[in-house]
Amino acid sequence: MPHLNRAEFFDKFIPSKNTPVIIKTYDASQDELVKKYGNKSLPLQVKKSRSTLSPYAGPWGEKQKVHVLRRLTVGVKNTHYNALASLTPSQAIDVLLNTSNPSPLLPINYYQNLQADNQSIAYGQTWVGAPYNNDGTVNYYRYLSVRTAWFHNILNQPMSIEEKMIAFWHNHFATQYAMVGDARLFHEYVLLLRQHALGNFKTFVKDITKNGMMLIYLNGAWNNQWSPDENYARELQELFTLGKGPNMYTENDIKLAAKVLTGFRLDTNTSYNYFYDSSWHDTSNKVFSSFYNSTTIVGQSGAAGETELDALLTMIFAKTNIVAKFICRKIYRFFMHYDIDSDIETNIITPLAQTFISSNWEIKPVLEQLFKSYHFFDPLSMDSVIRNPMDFYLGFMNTAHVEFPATTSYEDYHWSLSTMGYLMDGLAMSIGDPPSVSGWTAYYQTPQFHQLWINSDSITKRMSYIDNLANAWGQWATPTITVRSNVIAFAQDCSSPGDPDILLDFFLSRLLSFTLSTTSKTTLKSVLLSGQTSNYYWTQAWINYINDPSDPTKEGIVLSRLRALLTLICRTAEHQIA
Amino acid sequence: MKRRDFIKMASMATMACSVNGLPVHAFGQEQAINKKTRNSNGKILVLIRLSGGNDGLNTLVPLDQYSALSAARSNILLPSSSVLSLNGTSDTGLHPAMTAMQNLYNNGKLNIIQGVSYPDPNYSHFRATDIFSSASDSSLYINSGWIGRFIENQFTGAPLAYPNPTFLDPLSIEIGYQASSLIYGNNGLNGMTVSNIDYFYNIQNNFVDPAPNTKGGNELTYVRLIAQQTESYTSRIQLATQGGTNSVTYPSNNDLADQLKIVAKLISGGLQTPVYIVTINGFDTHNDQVDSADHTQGEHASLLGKLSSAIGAFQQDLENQSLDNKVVGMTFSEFGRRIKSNGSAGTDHGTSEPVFVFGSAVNPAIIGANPVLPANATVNDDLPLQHDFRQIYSTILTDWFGVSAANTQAIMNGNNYNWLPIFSPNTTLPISLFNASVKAEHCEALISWETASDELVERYDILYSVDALAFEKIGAVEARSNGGMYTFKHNPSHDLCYYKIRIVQKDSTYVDSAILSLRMFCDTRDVLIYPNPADTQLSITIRGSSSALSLTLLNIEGAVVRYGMNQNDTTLIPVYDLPEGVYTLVLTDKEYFKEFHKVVIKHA
Repeated sequence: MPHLNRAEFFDKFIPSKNTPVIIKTYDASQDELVKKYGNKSLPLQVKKSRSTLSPYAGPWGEKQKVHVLRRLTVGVKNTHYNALASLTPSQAIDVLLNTSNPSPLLPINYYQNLQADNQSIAYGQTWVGAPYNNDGTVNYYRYLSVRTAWFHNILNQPMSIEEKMIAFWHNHFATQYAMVGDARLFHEYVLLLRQHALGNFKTFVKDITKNGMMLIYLNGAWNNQWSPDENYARELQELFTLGKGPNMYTENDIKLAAKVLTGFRLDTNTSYNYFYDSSWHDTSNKVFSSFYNSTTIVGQSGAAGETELDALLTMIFAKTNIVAKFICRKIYRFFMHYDIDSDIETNIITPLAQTFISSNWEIKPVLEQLFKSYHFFDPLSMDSVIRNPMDFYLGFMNTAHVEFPATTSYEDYHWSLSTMGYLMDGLAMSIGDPPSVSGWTAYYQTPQFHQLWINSDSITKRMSYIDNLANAWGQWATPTITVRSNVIAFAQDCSSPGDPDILLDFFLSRLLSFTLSTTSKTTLKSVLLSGQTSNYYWTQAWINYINDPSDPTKEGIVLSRLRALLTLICRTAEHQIA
Repeated sequence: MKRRDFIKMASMATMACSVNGLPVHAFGQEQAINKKTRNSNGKILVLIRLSGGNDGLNTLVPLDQYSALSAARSNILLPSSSVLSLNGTSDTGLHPAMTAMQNLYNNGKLNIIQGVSYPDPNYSHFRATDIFSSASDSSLYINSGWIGRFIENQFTGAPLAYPNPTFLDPLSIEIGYQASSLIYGNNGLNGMTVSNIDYFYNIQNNFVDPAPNTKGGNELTYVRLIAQQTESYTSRIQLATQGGTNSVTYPSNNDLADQLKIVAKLISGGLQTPVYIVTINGFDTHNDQVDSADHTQGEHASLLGKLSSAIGAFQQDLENQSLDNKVVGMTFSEFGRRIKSNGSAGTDHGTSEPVFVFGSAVNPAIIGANPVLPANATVNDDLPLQHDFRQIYSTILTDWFGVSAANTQAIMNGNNYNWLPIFSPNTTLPISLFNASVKAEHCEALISWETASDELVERYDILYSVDALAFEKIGAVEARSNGGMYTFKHNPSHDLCYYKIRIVQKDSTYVDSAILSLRMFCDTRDVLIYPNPADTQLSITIRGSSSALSLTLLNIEGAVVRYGMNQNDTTLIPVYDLPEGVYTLVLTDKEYFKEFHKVVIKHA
């Protein structure tokens, strides 16, 4: 099924009201401009970091702090930045790794007035746990509500790496809502990503194997002793744990793993939960290849058949170095850079993998070692990643005080978030619908990798979406609501917003990771000064506003200049990179 | 404008001009007929912003007030003998650095409006700039600019629906790195700043730091290349830059000349963009406005010299290329300066200022009188308001762009302002072409136009081009002398092509119409949209398209509600959560041509 493209999928399945969102993903790798200008090989000639994982003890200034927040959270929230003041770098990473959202928003019925929920879920209440009725329209709105709750949790993140890790795992254990089309399963899948985001990887693999969304997506639910389905068995090894390479598991190993995995079914009648059906299970002994040291998984019958999954995972995870390096490389490509040359492999990936193995597959120690290292804080590690749409778009919202309707105006608020979701789809990062089981191409397609986020389709959208959020006309969110940045609140995050030099440095630090030249800064400052040369003009305008904030003229004067400045900063190519 | 209104205004014009006793061309009936309302009539406006507040009394010198001037500003006073004289008056002259503009006036190419400001003027650079941009009253704050509103009023769906086959070029161009609030409309930014792409074409210096030799620098270079190549208007600007020429040498070390040189080149290259905005900074002359030894020299003299020589070269360039009839320029500054100079050989923020409108189409006159200065001006004395700046804007909209009175009022925030005799009548085509258009019909180009009586016309030649630069004659239609509707059919060799109608008169002189552009959609592409009206989802099937098309579904307000991509495939777009109504499906191909389909969403 994952090898079926969407057009084929819909040739097979007649669309109905139950059809989920089908917006085709733009194939960036076929984009003429990407072909022309993208990497032809990994960037060999550039200056590269030689720093290692030794614990960082260097400067801890604004540059390092925003770097930490940019990479580990989504955008730079001012409250988070201020919280870093009293922490050392090591303490900061500890907080980011050990904080989790105590009460993430559950999907709710915000759509009652657009489409009444047929299970009498009250407006504003969650539908999670309520009975299910197979009404396609309600299901579609419930699907949207899973996405909007997800966006809500990103936009209201505590100072934590949690949302970033959820996105990481969504890319790693990718499923596509469009292929599954069940809002309940989608919700439970997201819940599982959250539950294990910073937990034990081996446990995670076991749980995702039995997850309803995954069971449908990779056909596990139909895998039986009479005609085994190899789909999940293949991806479990190739995409989720070991990767692909020469002299590894054989085709027969995949067939055998598929037999081990028979019997994990989904109750599609009532509960829609996973259950183990021993009558479907293949009870033969499975003798694996020499790659797995000719391990035999003894066939079990009855309820004990389910334990064969544990034996399978024990066998796979016995290939400790391969699994650990495969995952550590993925972490590195997601958080650091896609170019893993022999130095990075030796100095970073190998020791991280050792940590992963010795921690018995706990994720946190690996992240801790990476993010507390000199390598992470190396200036050559900064300013090097093309922002993915989540970091770019939702990150801008977190950084620049983009204001939404009150969360308790359920329809207005969630409809607005739903629109933001569609815009993210347009930027080729459709939350809930990665392009395939391999996740987003930007994280695996060599040699372009992250460059695939930027193509002839996405670049103008990226520019114009931020234009909309930064300016008076705003971003259309619902027929009655536009959303935009509260640029004055953003400016007030700055210690001295009346000083145009300090204010400009503040905006640049929050929005760009590259340091601009003095010439460029002079150009930008002249926007704040409307072409005048004396700082006094801005200072006076700001003081006038502060002394009389309700005067629309005084407010308008500072607003228009702040908006123009923000627009211009965000139109730089530098703004695409963090 | 109704003919009755026109006569009323014309008589006012006579009154306004009789103050100076200067010549005003007679207004004939032709002009009233010319004022048929239409979008984008091919006319171009160049706004020159003198940023900082220009000292009007040392720019347009009221020689009849010389003793009061001497009393008020002896430390910056220009010797009366140095002031450049203007034909027909001995009371008013120009700063000695402005010889080029003196020539323009004396040759009938410059119109001067005295005493321009607005009631309750503001002395803050920021606020006054905003007022001049938005055309708002002093007491109101309006976010949008008058140019932005003009464009949204005249180009339906702007800015989102552009470029499209009916108009391919940027809606306005601001030379520099920053879009000013002038071009902000209610729906977005109605134009572009040339610096977004110009480092690519080396048009001018701009705001780009070199990429470092790091992983990040590698990505930065990549993003820049994609951004430059993707800019929808890039190819148009590139074409115009390549095809356009400058026929004169522009003055060197002159920022403004550099900018106007680009503007002339783009106009020469065939860009139909109706508004250009350029800026010259530094007019905030609080101190050392003049050399103490020689008041005709110094900072202000240098600025006015640059202004004058740049405008002179620009006008000459346009005339040499026979482009002068479609372009006018206008200067403005956020305010004038005080009558009395300060102790630092400078002047402080003031009120009224003279505004210059130049071009072959203007009425060569000074509108309004010299201000009467108090014998012993104090720091509290300001120049009186004679003309509201919005009278100039309104007149440009109606007389130059042919905007109807009702639309002009809408653009001017609902207000009416008295007309001014800024333009000479009848500087356009010898006859009026109405509704000149080209459209694809049965895989042929159908060119059509209408005229009133055309008895002076011999024939209409049809010119064809594939690049909007080199045109060849492909046929002709004989004039019928009583006018009416004309058509011409052509089978173009390219999907994207351009036409001009050349009006050849009986004396064998000729004039060309504006360029008409056409995108043929009859190639092999086949678009099926089903069902329409749609309830739950919309199926869009495309066959035979040579490139991937991006699909955008816009609601009635022009907001994007759905996206997709499609190449020879079927895309299903769910619409059951969208409100009922009329939507527009826009298909955009790799050349940024847009195809529009009306889609109705109606829920069962």
